[in-house]
Amino acid sequence: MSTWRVALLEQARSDFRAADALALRGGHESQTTMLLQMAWEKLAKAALVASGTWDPQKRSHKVITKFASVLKKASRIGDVLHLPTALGVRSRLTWLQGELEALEALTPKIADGRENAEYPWEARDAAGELTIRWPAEHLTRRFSDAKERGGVHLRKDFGVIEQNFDRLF
Amino acid sequence: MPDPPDPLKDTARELVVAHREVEPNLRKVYFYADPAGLEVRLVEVVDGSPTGEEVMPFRFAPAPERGVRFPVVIVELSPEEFDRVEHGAMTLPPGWRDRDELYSAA
Repeated sequence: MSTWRVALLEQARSDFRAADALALRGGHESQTTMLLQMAWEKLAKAALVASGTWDPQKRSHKVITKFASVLKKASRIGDVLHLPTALGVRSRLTWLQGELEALEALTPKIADGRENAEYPWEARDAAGELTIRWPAEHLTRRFSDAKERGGVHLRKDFGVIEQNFDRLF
Repeated sequence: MPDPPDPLKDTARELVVAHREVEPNLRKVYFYADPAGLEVRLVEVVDGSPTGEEVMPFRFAPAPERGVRFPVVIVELSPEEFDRVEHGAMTLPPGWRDRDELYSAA
């Protein structure tokens, strides 16, 4: 019998593989970012549902950011990320939290009409004129460029956490 | 008469020490009793934690090699979320009732 935990984790892995394939191939940057968001969100929800008291069918927001904030308190997080000191855990996980906050801020619900990974948005151009921008052309490449530090580490850390999921959660 | 041994609370106290090391913005920690004695339940109030519309209980696996013999469920709240919980506008998971304050930042 499949559980919500297994289902969310497996879908997170699938979303991540798709994001990773697109990032390595290049192009489709907004979809790469969107899939990376979706992968992290489902990973966080798989950890949440393990409590047995959280409804996985709820449409929750800011799940990734809260997950990132709490993750530094996982007893084994230092082991799985090869960070032997509390200072190392604090520094690395605080950085990861900032990156994941920025990634989650690009979901349409949180972006609330501003730059996001799925829908066009209104913005001012250099001359101050109102214009419409869209993700495929104008979204930040911060999380989709295979050479950008943010995207590289978000993919690397996702892999480590999902591979050690049962040790952590 | 001394309190009876409470391995869940003892583990919680040790976790507070560890969590203060990794979370400089930790303001308060409350221990909630689990009547079944199966898991450590903590509410942690953290400055700068994201504020949302619901309580999110994350459950971590035991790590006996680190002295954590029980699963640990952490509900991290921003100060705004904590106020909402205290005023009944947000609710903790079912069964989270009796609590002890384990830590409060000066």
